[in-house]
Amino acid sequence: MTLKKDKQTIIMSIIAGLMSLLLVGSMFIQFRAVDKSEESNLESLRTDELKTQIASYKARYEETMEQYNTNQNTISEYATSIAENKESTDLLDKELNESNTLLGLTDVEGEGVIITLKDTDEACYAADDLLMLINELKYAGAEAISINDNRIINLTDIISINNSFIVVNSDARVSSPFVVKAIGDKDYLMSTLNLKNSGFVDLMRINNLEIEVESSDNVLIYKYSKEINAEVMKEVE
Amino acid sequence: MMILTIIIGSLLGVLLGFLIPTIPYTASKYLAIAIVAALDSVFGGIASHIKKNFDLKVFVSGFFVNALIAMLLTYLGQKLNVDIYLAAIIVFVGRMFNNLGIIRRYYLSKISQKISKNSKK
Repeated sequence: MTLKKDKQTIIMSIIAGLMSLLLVGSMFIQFRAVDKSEESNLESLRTDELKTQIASYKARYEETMEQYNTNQNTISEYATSIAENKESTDLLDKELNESNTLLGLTDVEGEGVIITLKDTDEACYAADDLLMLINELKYAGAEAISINDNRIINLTDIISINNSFIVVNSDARVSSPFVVKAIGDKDYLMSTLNLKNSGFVDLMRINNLEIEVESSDNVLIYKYSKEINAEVMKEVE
Repeated sequence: MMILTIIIGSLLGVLLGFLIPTIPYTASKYLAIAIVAALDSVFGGIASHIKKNFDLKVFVSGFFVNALIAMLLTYLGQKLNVDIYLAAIIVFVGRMFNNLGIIRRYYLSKISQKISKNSKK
């Protein structure tokens, strides 16, 4: 009887021990889980805390959104001004190109005349003759002129150094035959040159010089090949 | 002897609780309700012991089955989006207070009996 009671007590004790082990063990696991999750883990936060956090996030989001919109506006403003700048740059480029063309710094082509001048045994062309021809051409509305592919610009000088050479543009020596090309209204140029008696052609022929004038629909004139520098003059402000 | 095993079991439980890696937060909800159910069973067991109608089978089955059912109900509540675990906690904690009241009254009467005995002497 006592043995049976002892056995029952032992079983009871073991069961009680096991159960307390389970209970206390799971309690401590839970304590640790709760402890750990309270370290600002989002899932563990209470609803009120979450609400506050969401509200603050929302406020921050709105702030950021506002800033984003402002930045976007600034960007679009910049984009517009860039486009405007590009337009003005294009305009400047166009003006520069036009100026260069007018100055003679670009190759040009168009209708015009080609005049070939040759010395003969009796007479030679002088610088004055070339100056006169160029003057005539300019008077007749020539827009671009060249002598033996030396472009005549507003600063061009034409000087005789001896009987056989003429200097154009300070250092380019030209000699007979002289090929003078001019772009302009070809009919006007032709008629000006071919004026009876007082025209350039007749004047030269009277002086026993050889001259040929032909009109062309496509005269090519090369650009002025040197730099144009202003050392003395200054722009008046 | 029983007290000794309970103490040993508790100490081992503390050790176990610190050795086992922490469980995820979602699972800790189920563990909490199981702990409450188990505590309820323990207090119920003590109270029934005092009332002299303690049954080991009832106690052990109550300990495990209550914990299990409480966890299942919590899971169901989660699925239904109803906080069923609140109802379970109310029932368990209410019963715990009930049983604690029985235990308290028993020991109070015991102490007062002792005091009256002593005064009689």
